[in-house]
Amino acid sequence: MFERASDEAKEIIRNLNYKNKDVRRLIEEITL
Amino acid sequence: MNRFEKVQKNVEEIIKKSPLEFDLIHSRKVLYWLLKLKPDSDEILKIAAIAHDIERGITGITEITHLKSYGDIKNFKKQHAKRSANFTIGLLEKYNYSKREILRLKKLIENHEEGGDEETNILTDADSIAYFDYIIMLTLVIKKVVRKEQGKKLNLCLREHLMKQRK
Repeated sequence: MFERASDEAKEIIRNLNYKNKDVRRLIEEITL
Repeated sequence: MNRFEKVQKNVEEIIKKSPLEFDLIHSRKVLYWLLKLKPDSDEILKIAAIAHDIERGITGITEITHLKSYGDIKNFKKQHAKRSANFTIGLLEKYNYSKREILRLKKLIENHEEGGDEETNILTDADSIAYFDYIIMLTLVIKKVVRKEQGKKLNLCLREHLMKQRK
């Protein structure tokens, strides 16, 4: 789901609710 | 109610029967993200966005229950996309869409898992973003509605699920 996304879409995913620390941690795990 | 709204109502009635409860929200979120990525998306692209997983509302086939019988995930997703395209074509015929529009919708839905040309890639991106948007929303909801310990367990399950979905 993540790997197939374009660079633009990956950036959007990384920024979804990024201010929330739990979400930030979750997104970092997904996208690393 | 215009033609697209009628199709959407029809699609949503079917999707509500999916064994995956998030499918209705996912359908709406893919449309939302499609319009963010391409605000001038036309009717066919919008229908592809809302209906790309429609088969689960008809067949009830999911990765969780049927993956083994397809051999591998790639084949499973290919067959899922084909079935969704065929069911949506049936709907478009009912609403008198042209043959050209139907062929374009077929291409979009059949390839929504892998992408391909420019407009299919936009659909694939909207699908990917909508998936993570939902997971993240769910994480926030879990945090609010369940006790801390239960939340930790659920977050762990979500993380395991996400790691499997990375590709």
